[in-house]
Amino acid sequence: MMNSFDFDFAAGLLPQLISALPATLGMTALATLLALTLGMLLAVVQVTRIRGLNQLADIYISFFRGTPLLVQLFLLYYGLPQVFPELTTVTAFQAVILGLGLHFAAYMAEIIRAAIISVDRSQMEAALSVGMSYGTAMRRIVLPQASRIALPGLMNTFIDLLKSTSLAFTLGVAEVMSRAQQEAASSFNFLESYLVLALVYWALVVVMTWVQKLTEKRLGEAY
Amino acid sequence: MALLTIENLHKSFADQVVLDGIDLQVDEGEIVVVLGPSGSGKSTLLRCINFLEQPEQGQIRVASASVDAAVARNRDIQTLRRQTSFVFQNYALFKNKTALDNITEALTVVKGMSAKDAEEVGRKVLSSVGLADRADAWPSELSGGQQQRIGIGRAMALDAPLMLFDEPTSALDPEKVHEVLELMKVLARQKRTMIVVTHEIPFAREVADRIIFMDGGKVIEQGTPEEVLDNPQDERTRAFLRQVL
Ligand SMILES: Nc1ncnc2c1ncn2[C@@H]1O[C@H](COP(=O)(O)OP(=O)(O)OP(=O)(O)O)[C@@H](O)[C@H]1O
Ligand SMILES: [Mg+2]
Repeated sequence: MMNSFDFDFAAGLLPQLISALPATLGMTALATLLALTLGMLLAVVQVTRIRGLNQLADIYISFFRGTPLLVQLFLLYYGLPQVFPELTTVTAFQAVILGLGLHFAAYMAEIIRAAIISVDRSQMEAALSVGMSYGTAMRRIVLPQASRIALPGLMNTFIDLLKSTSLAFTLGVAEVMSRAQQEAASSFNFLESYLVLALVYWALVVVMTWVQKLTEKRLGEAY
Repeated sequence: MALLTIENLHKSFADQVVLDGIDLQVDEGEIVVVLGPSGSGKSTLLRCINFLEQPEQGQIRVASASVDAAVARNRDIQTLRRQTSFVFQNYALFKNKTALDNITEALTVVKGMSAKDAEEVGRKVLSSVGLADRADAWPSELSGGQQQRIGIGRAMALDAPLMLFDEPTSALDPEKVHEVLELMKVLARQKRTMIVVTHEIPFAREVADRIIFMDGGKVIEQGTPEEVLDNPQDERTRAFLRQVL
């Protein structure tokens, strides 16, 4: 006979998962910051074709898109400390932020690069013609226009990043996934545990999507 | 006195020679109209003057700035650019800036004016181009003629010694051409130094101190509007004028 759904268990699990949310959200925020910054740098390097750096950026993006995230995290957390003993002091939490940041930077770089290229060349020329330097023109005229184009793609990547923090449980970080897994294992309420967990992720993504809509509207008012 | 001096300017795209040793002087306060068939290198000439295109060879001097194309450094190029302003065929307004901000942007960012002073200049320029009431409009909310007047306002506000116009009316609906040409006539009466690429022959006749006819990357002939338009010496000029008149 099928077990009936244990609503009391599910209701009791929710606050527990919420108490583990700060770790999930903290990793998401810091990794996003890293990914965005690095992604922007990589994109600008590629667009301006800075010799040498450009090739490095290509290899970087190729590697981080070409290998599984989980493999990268294991390499970073378990592999590298064997060669660099100093790295054993890096916590799992830090390793996940670094790993996610490096990984998603590659995706964000591609999105930002495509967005920069899609801004009409005459925008850069007009900015140069009024006396701006290339860097100022990029910062004040081209990147703001590119950001609007990049936003939907970046949001997708951001959502992907959020969900990928669940991989942190494999390194032993106490986040929502690991909490749900523990509760599931000790109670055998697998369905309840993972369903509540899924709903928690879903709720987060729904909120983000809503923020995205608002941002798109604000960035779009000039067009 | 010559405000602009170009000596032996050469520019190619791949193996196509587009400017083939241009020499040109423009005096302060002079208004020069450049005519020539499509592909003759008119736009490229203007774009080389402020290094939107990089010429391979030649000297360009505008006011106090001087650049030798063969050894041009970024800093010299930027100094040269600040002696010129440019009005684009497709307006090229900053799409992420309002009409007013299009004009004030360079005043604050490039010229280091305070936001308050820049706004004052900006509003003055807006009313002189007849768009005082559209200060907060986005470029996408303006008609082509209005956008081009903002484009001219943006260039005017810089107060650069030399203004360059690349077919400023050829993307406009016929009924909007007039409003832009009238604005340019106002600038001409202020004795701004201007080089204007255009196909508007009546405008050239009325406003130009000198007309230059280009073909195949060379200056074929030049002179007063009467000389070039009414008594063209070169067969290529005559052929061109037969087509446009
Ligand atoms: N960025 C570029 N790359 C390659 N070729 C170019 C480029 N810009 C211009 N050319 C070529 O250089 C030649 C001169 O072009 P230019 O735009 O200066 O002509 P133009 O006299 O302004 O013509 P039009 O009256 O059609 O505007 C043309 O043959 C054009 O195809
Ligand atoms: Mg042209």
